[in-house]
Amino acid sequence: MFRLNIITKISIGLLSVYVVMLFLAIYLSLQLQLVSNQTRILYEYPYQVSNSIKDIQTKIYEYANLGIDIHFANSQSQLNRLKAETDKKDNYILKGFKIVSRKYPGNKTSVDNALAAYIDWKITFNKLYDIQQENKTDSKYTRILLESSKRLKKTDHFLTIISDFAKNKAESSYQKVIATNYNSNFTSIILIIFASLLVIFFIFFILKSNSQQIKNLVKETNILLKKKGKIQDIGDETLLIQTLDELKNAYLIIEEHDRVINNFNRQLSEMNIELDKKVKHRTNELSKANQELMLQNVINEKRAKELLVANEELALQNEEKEKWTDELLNANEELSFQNEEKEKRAQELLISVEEHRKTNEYLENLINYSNAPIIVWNTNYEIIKFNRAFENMTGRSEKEVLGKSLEIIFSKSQKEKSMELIMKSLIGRGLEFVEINVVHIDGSVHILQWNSANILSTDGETTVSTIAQCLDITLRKSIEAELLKMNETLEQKVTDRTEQLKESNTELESFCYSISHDLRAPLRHIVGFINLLIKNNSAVLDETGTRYLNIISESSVEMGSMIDALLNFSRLGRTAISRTKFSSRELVNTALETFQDELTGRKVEILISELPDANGDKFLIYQVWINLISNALKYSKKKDLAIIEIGGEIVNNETIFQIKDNGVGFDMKYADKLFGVFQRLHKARDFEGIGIGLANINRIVTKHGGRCWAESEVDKGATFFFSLPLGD
Amino acid sequence: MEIKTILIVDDNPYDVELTIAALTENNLANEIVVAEDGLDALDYLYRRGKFAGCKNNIPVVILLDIKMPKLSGIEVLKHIRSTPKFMTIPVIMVTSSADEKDLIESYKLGANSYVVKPIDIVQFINAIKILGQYWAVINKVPVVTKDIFRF
Repeated sequence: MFRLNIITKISIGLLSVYVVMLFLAIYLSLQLQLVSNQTRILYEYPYQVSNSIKDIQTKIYEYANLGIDIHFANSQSQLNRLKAETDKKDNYILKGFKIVSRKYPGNKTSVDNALAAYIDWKITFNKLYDIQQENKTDSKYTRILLESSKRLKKTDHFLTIISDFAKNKAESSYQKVIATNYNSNFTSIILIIFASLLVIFFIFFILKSNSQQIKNLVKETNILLKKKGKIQDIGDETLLIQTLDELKNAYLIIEEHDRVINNFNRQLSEMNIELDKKVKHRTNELSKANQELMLQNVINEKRAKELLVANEELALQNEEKEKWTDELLNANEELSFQNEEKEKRAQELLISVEEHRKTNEYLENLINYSNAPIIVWNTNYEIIKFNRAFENMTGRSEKEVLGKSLEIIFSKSQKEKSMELIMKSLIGRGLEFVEINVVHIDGSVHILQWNSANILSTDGETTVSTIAQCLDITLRKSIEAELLKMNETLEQKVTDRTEQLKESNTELESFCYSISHDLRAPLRHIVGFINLLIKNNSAVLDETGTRYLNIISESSVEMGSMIDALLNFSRLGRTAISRTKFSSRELVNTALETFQDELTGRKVEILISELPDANGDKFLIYQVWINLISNALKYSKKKDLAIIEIGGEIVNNETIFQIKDNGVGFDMKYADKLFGVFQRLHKARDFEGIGIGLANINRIVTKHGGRCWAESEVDKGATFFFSLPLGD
Repeated sequence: MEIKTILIVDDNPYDVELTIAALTENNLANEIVVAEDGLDALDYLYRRGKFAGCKNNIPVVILLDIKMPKLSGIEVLKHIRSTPKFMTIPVIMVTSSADEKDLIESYKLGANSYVVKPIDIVQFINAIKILGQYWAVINKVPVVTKDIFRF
């Protein structure tokens, strides 16, 4: 059992060592292969992609530059060169795209898009080339070029995306390489340590098991020796022999063991040597792999650095290209604009030449047939243009005056003065009008409003000739003079009229004065003497005679009242009003007090609501109220209960007062007659009075800038209104 | 008893007659002197012209019409009020006109009263009655001496 165990253990141990070593070897190999693959991918694919893109971009950049050159130089030869170049390089670019497409580990759409943009641009460019070959218009060519530039920019855009991706990929790959290197180094070291530990363990284990066996043998021998010492008795001889046999066997076993051990040791030694060899070999291999890996890393790093530099360069190129493209776009737009402008200019020029001709003709006609006299003279004051109006005015023909001095159109006495005036008017901007007298050959003189202006040469400074346009103001002048005279007369007339008016006013006043004096006197006498007649001569008068005399007397008194009223009315018109602000309430109360006598024996209810203050001549407004209250009382006297309501309110910018009675009222048909002088809507027999009160009210209110009106219905009372402006 | 003289100055004889009738009816006139115009009135006051040699009676009141030929009532009033000898005589302007201008002028010049002759004779008589009673009977006029006007 013991022997078997050792051999089995040894076998198992060896097997384990082999299995582990094998496993490690396979693992290492796989790791190396992976590293190798990754390394290859790392520098091969992105680099190829980047290179291809770089190539494509370089080409396109060249195209763009050429495009700009062509654009600016508008050179046919350069365009042809570009065409040849693009055709030649087309396959190369397409191949580049194919490589990128195959190797590119990133988003394939970007590659497809870039390719599509490139093809698109190529088509546009070809179109452009065709158009240029056919010598079509500039503007279209420019437009196409513009379009192509846009396409180019699009290509550039996609290529930039790819390039950026490749750059990123390269960077991440570089990181991966470093990581892988680190991993493989670490694995190799672990493997060596592990293998060494394993060998040490086995040696130790086998040595330990041998010493155990020897220990056992010594133990057994000691037992035997002890037994031998005890064999003092013969009986023990057999036991001794037995023991010696056992010892012999034991030696044999030991011998065998020694042999086995030696054998094993030898084998072990051989194995160790072999293992050592294998380990050394593997280590060498690993070391080699590492060195290679290191080398690759260095290359990769170098590559990655190059890639980074290339990418940066690429980015720079891209930026520059973008800038170029923008400039190209701007330049194209400008060119397009310029072309359009140029075409416009050319057309304008053509039109303007025609227009110029027409204008000249038109101007010639305008000058010749103008109603205004127009004259042109050169720097020597020789007439070079003399239009029909001037011909008519001077009685001289153009032929006659051409080349003659300007002076011939002036009268001899005014020649110098006129020339001086014209010179003077030309100083400055020449906008000044001067009055010049021109003489007809028959001797008649025309007064002209003369406006002359220098005609300058193209330098804008040198005077070539001078043109004068005139307005014949002879008639106007005479009318003006007449008007002036008339104005003077008018002034006199106004003064006269004012005087007359003053006079007539004075007359009117003295007329009123005499009416009041002289007209009243006879009436007074009639009434006075009738009274004396009745009193002193009653004996000779019968009843009828007395009645007649009484009627004469009454009528005369009435006539006197009318004269007084008329005079009063006329005086109201002449009185100046002096405005004050006063309480209407107080004024109405004062007015009501004067009617105390009239109110006795009558049932009258007077209702006064809120009354706003009034602004006007207090005395005149007082008379208005007196008249209105008097009217209200008068026309309601037949009512058992007379109700008079007085009120007022401010509406907009005026104060409106009203007085309402429940009297007989009137028919609104006659409302317009209400405020006239001596106009009565009722019989004098029914209501006393002469019909001047409302006329007075109207006169006063109107003088204040107010209005008065009335509303009524027969037998339903009347309401009288008057308004006064609010004032300040 | 002292005779109280009332001076009526009016160019219209009918008005004079009516005024006299009114005064008579009221028993007011001890003596009524009529001047036919302004000049006449001054002649009476100065006892000259046709009044030369008349009794030297200063009237207790003068009823003075305004609108008169030659010298108007206003001018007469002006003269009376500017003459120390006559300035205390009560002067009543009795006129046909209610003209405000005359009224103001009269009072400014020192008229004692201003009466518009009413057309209605009854009113006229009443007016004269009141005026006469006041100015000829009730009112006392200072006795004119040289001292008073010695300013």
